[in-house]
Amino acid sequence: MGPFLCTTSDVPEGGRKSVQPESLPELVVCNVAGTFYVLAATCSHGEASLAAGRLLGCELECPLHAGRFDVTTGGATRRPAKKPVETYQCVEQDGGLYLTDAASSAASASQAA
Amino acid sequence: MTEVKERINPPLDAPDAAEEQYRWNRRYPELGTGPITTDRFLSEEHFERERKLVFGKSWLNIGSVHDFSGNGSFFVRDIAVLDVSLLVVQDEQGTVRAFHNVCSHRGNKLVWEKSGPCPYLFACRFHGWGYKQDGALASVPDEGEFHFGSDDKNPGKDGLGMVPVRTEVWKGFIFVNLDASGTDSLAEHLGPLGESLKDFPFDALELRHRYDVSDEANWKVILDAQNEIYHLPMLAPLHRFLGGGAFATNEDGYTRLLDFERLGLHTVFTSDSDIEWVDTPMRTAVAKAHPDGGLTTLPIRGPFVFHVLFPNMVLGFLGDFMFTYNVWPESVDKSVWEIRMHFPRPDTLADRVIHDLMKVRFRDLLCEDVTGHAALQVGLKSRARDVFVVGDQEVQIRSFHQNLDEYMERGNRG
Repeated sequence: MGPFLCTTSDVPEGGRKSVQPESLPELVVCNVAGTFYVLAATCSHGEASLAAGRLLGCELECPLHAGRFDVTTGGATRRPAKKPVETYQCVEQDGGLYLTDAASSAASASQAA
Repeated sequence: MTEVKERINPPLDAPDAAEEQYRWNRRYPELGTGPITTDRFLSEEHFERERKLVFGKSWLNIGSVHDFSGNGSFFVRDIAVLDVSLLVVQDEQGTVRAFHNVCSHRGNKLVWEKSGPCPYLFACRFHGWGYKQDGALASVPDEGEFHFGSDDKNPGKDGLGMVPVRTEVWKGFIFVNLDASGTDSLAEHLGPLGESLKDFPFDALELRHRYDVSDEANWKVILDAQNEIYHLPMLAPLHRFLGGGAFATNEDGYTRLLDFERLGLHTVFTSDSDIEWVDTPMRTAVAKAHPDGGLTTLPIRGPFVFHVLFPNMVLGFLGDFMFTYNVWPESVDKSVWEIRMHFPRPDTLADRVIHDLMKVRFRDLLCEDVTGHAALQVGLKSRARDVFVVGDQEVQIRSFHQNLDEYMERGNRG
């Protein structure tokens, strides 16, 4: 199991939260109808944290230029954003949310890049 | 729809040319990279110089033959920036002439109607002096009481026709030049721009819609705001959703000009299609229902082509229609933005519906622009900054202002 992200109660349904695990880029945890999704928080378009944006259904909206991303795939769904953001697998255990090992190394690699 | 079916798409300079940094500065280094002063949008003195040295000397587009109801008709064009009213006449043979809309008797404004069929004579409302379609004075009530002479100081009836204004027609567009002592022809003024459009099938299009918008901004604010596409993906809520697939963006979501050219005093830029564009549900449904309708059939280089005809006209193409703008200053911070939309003649009701959808979409986009123009003027007027900056993808603006400065400089030298 990878690093701890937050408790599940930190992110109610329809909510999103910025998390900053050590040695990893800022991530955003989204709760869509009880399912948790984790994405790289920095928008692929402008320099902004998606964690400060609105979660609308399964779309996370950038607070800067209002581009949107599908949190289930990371794909850009609304202009001006075009490039996807990274998504990461997470697991839930004892009320805590953790990156999977694979997701953790992917995030580290993306941080290094 | 129209007999024109072939679309010309010349190859790009190179596949990655659009991503070359400072591409347009490399092509036109003479335009420099410096900022643009805000004073030119605010100063009464600058406006006065534009009035005298630009609008008073340049060829100006005042409409098109579509503004006539046929041979033997007229329209009146008031040009506030020059304090003139013009009577524009297409005679029975189709010849177009413009005159000062002024009676030679006491200087009254001759024709008060906006347009219509030519009357038997253009008769002044004040004392009834009557003029023919070619401007000649034909009727003077109680003529015997006038001391007509035969020279310039005291002209005779022959010398008291309406005062003609230099007038030329290009591709159906009517231009006038209020500089009576000027000698340059319209062809010389249009130069390489006229040449580049010499084979364009303007006859395949008809004027369908007109909007005259009162705009709380300097005329150049309006032109500049239209004369770039950097704003397209950003301006919300309408531009980014209704711009359609006419404005390609790179992978970062920024527009890139397909081409930009300086053509004498004028410029043209082109955008490329955005093949990943997802259109609105209605437009998608219409396209599916009528796959042959609304296709781009005009011989243009891309889905959006924007010519700026110095000083204040735009001739643009978006997909299957042509639009023109004429931006007329009324004062330093007030203008009228005239918008005209020309479409191919529709073959079917479906064509017509698609055209009307385009019209509504375009109109809504421009409404968003009008709000933007006023906001720009407010910001400039605050004089918070003496200059503003433009990027390489806004090279058109740089070119326009340089042309304007050089034109006024030449005019000053006489």
